[in-house]
Amino acid sequence: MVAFALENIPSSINSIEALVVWGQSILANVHATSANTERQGEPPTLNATLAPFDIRAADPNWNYSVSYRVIGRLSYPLADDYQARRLWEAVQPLEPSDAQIPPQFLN
Amino acid sequence: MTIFQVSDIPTDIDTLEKLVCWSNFTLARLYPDVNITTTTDPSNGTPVVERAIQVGQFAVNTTSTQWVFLGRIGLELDTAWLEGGQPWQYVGELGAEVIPNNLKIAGGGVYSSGGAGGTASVSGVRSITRAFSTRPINRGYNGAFVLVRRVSDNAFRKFANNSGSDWFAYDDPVDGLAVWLAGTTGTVNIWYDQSGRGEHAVTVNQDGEPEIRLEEGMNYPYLYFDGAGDYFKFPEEIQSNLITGVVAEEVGAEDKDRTILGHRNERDFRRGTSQQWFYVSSNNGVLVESRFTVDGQVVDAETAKPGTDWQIFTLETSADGSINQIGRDGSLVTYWHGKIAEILISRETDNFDSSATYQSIYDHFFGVIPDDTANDTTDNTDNTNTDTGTDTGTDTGTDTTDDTGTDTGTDTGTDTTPVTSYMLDNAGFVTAGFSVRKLVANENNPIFRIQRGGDNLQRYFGEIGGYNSSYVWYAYDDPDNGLSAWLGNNVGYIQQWWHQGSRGIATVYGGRIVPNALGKYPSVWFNGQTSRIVLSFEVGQSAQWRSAHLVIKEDSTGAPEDGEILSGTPRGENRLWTFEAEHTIHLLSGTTKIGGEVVDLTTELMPTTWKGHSFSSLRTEGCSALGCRGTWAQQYDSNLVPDGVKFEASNFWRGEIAEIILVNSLNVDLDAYYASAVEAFGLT
Repeated sequence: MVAFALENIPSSINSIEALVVWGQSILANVHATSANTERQGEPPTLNATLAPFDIRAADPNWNYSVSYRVIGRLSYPLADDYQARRLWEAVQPLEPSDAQIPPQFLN
Repeated sequence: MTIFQVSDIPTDIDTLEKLVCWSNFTLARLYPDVNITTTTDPSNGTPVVERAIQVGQFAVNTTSTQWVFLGRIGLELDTAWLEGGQPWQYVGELGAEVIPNNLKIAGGGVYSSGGAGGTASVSGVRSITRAFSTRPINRGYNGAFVLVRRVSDNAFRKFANNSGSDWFAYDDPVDGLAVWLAGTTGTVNIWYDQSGRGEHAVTVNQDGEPEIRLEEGMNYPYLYFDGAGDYFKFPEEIQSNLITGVVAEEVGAEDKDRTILGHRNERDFRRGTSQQWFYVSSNNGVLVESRFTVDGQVVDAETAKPGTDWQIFTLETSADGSINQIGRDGSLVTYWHGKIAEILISRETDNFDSSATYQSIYDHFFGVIPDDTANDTTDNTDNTNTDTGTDTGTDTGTDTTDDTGTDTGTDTGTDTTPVTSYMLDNAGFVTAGFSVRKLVANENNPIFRIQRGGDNLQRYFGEIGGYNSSYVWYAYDDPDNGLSAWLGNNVGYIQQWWHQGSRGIATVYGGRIVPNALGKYPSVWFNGQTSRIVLSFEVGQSAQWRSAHLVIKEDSTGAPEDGEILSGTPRGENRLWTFEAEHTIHLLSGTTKIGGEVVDLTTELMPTTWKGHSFSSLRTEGCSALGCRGTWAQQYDSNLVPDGVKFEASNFWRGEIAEIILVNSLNVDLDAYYASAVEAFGLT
């Protein structure tokens, strides 16, 4: 779990798009190895990922159309009574439970 | 850019996990159809497009059945990020939608669907009149909750949950309430109005000040009224038809009428005779129609009595009452004797969700664990969803003398046309049961969550009005709060359709509600372009079935020729339920009946009038979507981002749906089914 207070959000973040990337960046950084078995018989899947990707068409003439995407995936445990609550309220913390936001994410 | 204010974030979000989930959820809600290229096919360079934002709750890990929230983010990134900045500083926008109010509210919200509670200000919500509490209930309010007088030396100090410019936090280790009182008595001189209107409740003299007390197990203090003169006055009298309170009566105080909210005349919310709860009377003394709940359960306001344990009540009435004081009735000069932790006064009940209010208080704030066993006749010592108060339970669906909405527990089975053939009760394993009518007698859920076009407010509906610990819903044909009354001329967009059979809730994309399409029942209209229901009960799992039962009507004009009603993962041609060229039904099937008659699948045209359909299949079919051809597919985006699951839809169907039931069995009495469908929907 990464405890959080409203004051932690950098003042430059003024959109939900930026907010979700900020939050997920921290979680991916702090819980880089946290994983969970999502399909029987397969290796555990990382719970928090986020990274920039270079998206380009494979072109033999090297006429690349380059763009960048930040792509992430989140997999957070839910309380069993999640249907009786707002979904985000039912999200359970990742371990360890005493993680802090690294200072480089606070500016 | 989806602009947000820090104050938009629900107050109960205290971890980054929750914040990210909320942000992802919000974006998915606002931009359900925005796509983004996340990779290219290495074999031909074709861009692979998928939803920019995806969310859902799934059961994973088959050994432990852990539920998890799965989400995916795919957002454009400005190339300037290569200069060394953080990704969030260069992330692109998905659009310029505004965050709906109901996504800003914690705990379902004190004023849930209306949008206050967690919003910047309740002043924009017309229904909120006064808000007195010892807990914070309005994020936009920045001030003390109570002005306390220390009796021993007449010193005054303001308190709230957090310290401020001239007030202290209750639990401040140096200046907090208990520290400051040091075991002496403190009384409340002013109970501040958190509504933002500044209409604070004041005492008229020191003898009339209730005590402020702390109780073990409660997160906030409460006010104790001595029953002998303690009360507050309002600067101005106010009109209200909706009040909420957290109260407990003093042991032995039942000797006479005692008023929580009062006024000088008879149209008030006063404690009635015979120790009943509130007696809400008109000027001529006639009881005003009301809906009264205690601890989230509807009770009879004429007979239920206050308790000496903490109780959370709400009272909605059909007529305004006048209020000018807390703790005293002006005409009878009786005083409340007991505890009060919160009084919320509102008007216009459209935006009020009493169940959510109860949940908010119960779960998150006072920490009060109310005992609701007093009003139960059956179950529920743990405050779960199935508490049905004193309802005798014989009310079955198609009452002609109904008890919708305002059920006070006195329905004793006077139905004239009871339906005994609820097919889902005896139909074996129902894998999908979606209907506009109530199919399962013992389930207590709404049927639809509808969003109203124009103002984006949302409300729950069902065949019969009701409530549980999570939702309050209204009957379709409720004259004041039903579908037609609520929608007016607005379009109703279906957000969710409850599966009847305890399997979950299906998200509906693009479907609209058509009020009164089948008598009192609405229908769900699919537009043939985007409308669909994805059965994402679990990751990639489809509903298995051997027999299907539908009440549908294809649009007589503009319906795509190959639109599909039921669809599963393709496993070979002719294995899909599909209405293909010339609207003919194709399926390798056992028996097909439309309107109760066996039809020839190769020649029968898709009916454009309401018909009941039943199909049985020679083999078990899988269905992952309704209203389109749907496919769950594994997506491998890159080596760094693990695989996810994606849903693709095509071949949309155009028409109206009233019912789709899938049963993984052939043991269904089709005659009984048709009889119940004909009876319910008036089919021919």
